[in-house]
Amino acid sequence: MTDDRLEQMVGSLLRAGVLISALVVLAGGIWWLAEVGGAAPAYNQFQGEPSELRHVGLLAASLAHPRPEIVIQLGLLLLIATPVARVVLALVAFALEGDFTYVVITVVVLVVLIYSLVMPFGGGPPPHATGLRKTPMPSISTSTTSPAASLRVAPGVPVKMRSPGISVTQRLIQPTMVAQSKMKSAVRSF
Amino acid sequence: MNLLLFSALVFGVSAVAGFLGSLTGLGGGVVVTPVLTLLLGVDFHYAIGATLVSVIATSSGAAAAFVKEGFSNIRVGMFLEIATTLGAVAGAHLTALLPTSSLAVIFGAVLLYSAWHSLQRPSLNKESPPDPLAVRLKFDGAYPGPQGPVRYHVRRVKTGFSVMFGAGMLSGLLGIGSGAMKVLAMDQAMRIPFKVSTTTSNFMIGVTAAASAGVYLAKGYINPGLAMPVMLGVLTGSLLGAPRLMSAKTRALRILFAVVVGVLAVEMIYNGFSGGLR
Repeated sequence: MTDDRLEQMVGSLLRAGVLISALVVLAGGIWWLAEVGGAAPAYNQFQGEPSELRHVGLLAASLAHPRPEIVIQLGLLLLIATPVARVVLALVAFALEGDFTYVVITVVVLVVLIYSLVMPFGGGPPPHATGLRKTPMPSISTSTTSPAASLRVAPGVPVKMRSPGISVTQRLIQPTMVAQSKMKSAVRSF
Repeated sequence: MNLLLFSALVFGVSAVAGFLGSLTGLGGGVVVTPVLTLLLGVDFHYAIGATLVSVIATSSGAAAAFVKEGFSNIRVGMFLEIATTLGAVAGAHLTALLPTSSLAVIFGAVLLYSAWHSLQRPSLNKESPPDPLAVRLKFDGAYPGPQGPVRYHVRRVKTGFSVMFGAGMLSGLLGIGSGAMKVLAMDQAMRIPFKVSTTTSNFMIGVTAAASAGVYLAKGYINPGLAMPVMLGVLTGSLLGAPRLMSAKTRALRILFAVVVGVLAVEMIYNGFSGGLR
């Protein structure tokens, strides 16, 4: 195999990878915009993505019930896989050429690449996790409670009733209204 | 503004980024990151996730054409990828130990100087013999010029390799700027013709970015709704830009590169001072 042949194969692989991933992302994107296109964008605060969008295994599992986000993320994974695939292709090509030096070089690149791709999913948090994270401080929280709830009673004293029962309320409405109307009319007569 | 309009806007900006990225050998993050964070108010984490996607899309989209045409030097690319991927892993491990803000300012200053320096015509009169290491690694090649293939030699392989390690670390530490370092290392240190330097950088940045993709994905930085218009836009731009490179004059590309790297350097210094990085 000549270098020219290798160039043509690598070029074709990159083109195919880009085309396939773009079509998948486009399909997912149209579906996504059809569903939520009218909503307001909310990217101003980082929330992190749900786990099925962060882990390759969970993403594959959720393909049984696809949602537009899942389809887009699948396309993005295909895009990320394209450069990896071209390193593998180069490895095969150099091996067929019998170019030992470049077989070693490509294997080293592939091992580092796979290590760095798998590392964050392995045991323990990724090394990034100890970095500085900026999150907005929550403002002073306020809460309102009705005065009845904050009524303090000395310990030991049983509280029978905190507000009049429904029967009492009903009985008192009429006399209260009558009494208040008389008070108002009394004020006006001055 | 609704998501439909927002996506259309991001698509347009990303197309410009992809166009510039394919011509200069940079990832397109120079345009995507500040527009998303400063103009559209996107959180920095989502913005760097989208930038990573834009780098891989520019690289694969444009490199497909560059490799087929014979611009990118696959052997140089593969060899230097050892340095960039190792650097990227080292950088990812060092983020907790190093002050990234001050590093951003230092690298920004280095890039600013390099951008100015890259405009100076490299002195070709003192032709040194090709590096024996380059000969052993079969680096010497040819690229299509206006009057048939132009042959070239590769020099100072060890220096180039060291700078590439730094470029990889930069991408692992700061997330941006590795494309610029790659072009500078090949153009200035290894004396590779400019078009070969930018197209080989384009070929390489996809692999360097893929090395960081695992971390970004696991931490939830890659938001599908935001990455979708970025990826499609960048691809469109890079597919439009790639054919222009073949006919473009090297001098014009050098000036474009210097301007874009200058902007990138100012962005890095700004980020360093404002503490925007992580």
